Amino acid sequence: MYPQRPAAFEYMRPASVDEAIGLLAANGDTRVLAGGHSLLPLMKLRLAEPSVIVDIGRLPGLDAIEVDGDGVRIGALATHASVAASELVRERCPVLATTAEGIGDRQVRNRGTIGGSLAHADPGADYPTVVSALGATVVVRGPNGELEIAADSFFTGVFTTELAQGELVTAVRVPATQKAAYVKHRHPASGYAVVGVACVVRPDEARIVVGGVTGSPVLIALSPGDEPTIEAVVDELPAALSGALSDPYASGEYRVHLAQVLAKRAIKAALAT
Amino acid sequence: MWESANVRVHLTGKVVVTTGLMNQGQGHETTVTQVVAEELGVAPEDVTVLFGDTQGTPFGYGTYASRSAAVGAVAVYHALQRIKQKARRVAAHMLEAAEDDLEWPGAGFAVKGAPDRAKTIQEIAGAAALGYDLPEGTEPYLDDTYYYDPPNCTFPFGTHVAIVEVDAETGEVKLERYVAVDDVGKVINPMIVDGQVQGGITQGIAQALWEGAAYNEDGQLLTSSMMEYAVPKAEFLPKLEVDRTETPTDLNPLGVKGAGETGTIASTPAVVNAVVDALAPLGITHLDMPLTPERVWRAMEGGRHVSATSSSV
Repeated sequence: MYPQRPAAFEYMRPASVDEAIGLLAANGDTRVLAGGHSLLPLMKLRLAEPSVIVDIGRLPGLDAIEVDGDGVRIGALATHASVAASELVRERCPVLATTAEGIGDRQVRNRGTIGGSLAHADPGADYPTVVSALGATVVVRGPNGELEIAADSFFTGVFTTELAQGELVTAVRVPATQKAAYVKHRHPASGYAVVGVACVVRPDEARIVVGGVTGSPVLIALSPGDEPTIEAVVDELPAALSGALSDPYASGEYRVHLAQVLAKRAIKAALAT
Repeated sequence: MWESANVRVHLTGKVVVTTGLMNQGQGHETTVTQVVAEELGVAPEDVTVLFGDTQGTPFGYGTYASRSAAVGAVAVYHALQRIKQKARRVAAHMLEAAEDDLEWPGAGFAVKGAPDRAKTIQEIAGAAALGYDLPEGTEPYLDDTYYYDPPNCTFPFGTHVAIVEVDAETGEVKLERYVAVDDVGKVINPMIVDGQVQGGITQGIAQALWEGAAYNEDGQLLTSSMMEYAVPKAEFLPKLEVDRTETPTDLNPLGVKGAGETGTIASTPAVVNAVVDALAPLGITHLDMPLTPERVWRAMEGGRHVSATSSSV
């Protein structure tokens, strides 16, 4: 019923980003392998049966975490553990470090990568929700060169993004952010977020993003003109979260309810930072 | 139900016990070895416990129902008594003394009042195994199989207390504190008993709070992988506070009672009752397990609705 071995596939390990992009573009049914903690289980369950695996796990330099203006540029291969431990991230965007610290378990954090999490776009993942709220930018390289996609429009549905065939996430650019919080309700079995809510407060805007309820993160952005109460934001959520996902652990109705409760908590926590 | 044990004290003085029990991680080797070491005065490293191979073990009913110490180890104990009885006969012959004049100072037989006239259990086993010079009508070897049929079940007792906090908004249940005091009679190995009690408590809490099989309308199991089926994790639990009283049972010579299921039996109702107690102000008297956050939230919503209605009347 559950094969424990993946279907046969070709394994390729490029030596550079350009070579990786070439391989991705040249082969139709291709998946990128980084940490492998999401892809390999899917392959073992035969939910994914790519004919070609392009292993970018050892590409040099793609795991750098570096200064980017006031913010931080995090290479796609930076593991959750290294993001959590990065002094630069802790200093410039503490919410991202604490989010990384709360992903999965230690084994997952040591293998899983930020680029992999973003490209995989699991509705229960934490990074998509948080980088969307941060107004981060996903850096993508493809056959036509490099482009930058706003994180809040990068995710298009369950396991789907704006990435086209042959394109590779190479980095995410995160603006410096102090007043922010992320709260989630973890599934007791998988550890994934059943619902996660991130809130970012800046002088000129407030951004609340709900993940896990629908296929992709849902953003509620508030401008300086708005003077909403927390209750008003929370009341707005059910309409914004139509078509909620449902599973045996949490129905769509309960997910929406959780989103409202966690949004309230995230907003309060962000204002308190 | 009875249980079997075979004990052989070999020529070398090494002891091999075969039992109808089947260890699944309960530490039977350790517990049984302790009984043998205590009764024969041999070093624990000289004892081997074998099980699980029907080619080499006597028939037995096995490990279940908290019976391994209370029935299985008692069978070992009885076999050891018969081994010692035979060893006394052999030792008396070796020491040219009457059986009644011998005493057991701890690891062999000695003539009463003449402690230097003694034979160790290893010396006696060696003589019994060689069989050159045994008392009239005595079979060689120290080897005995005992089938122990207990006169009654043992009755461990205890009290478990769970303190829980229910998130009034989400329905999440957090276990704040768990205290268990059990009486499993004489404790052969405290660490093993504590481990069994803690493991049992954890399993019972998991039944109360997390573990549940969900099926769709077509009978398809929806919680078929570890991604959906929640087994307990250490981070879900507070430190389990385990203590005991020790009242030996007179139903068996070891004074031991069942220990393996005290945790599983007590912790499920303790936790569920604590949650129901927390929700009593909302008129909630029953919740189906597992008490998932959504289930508790729905019950609270129903209770709030009822409370609101009744207060407005």
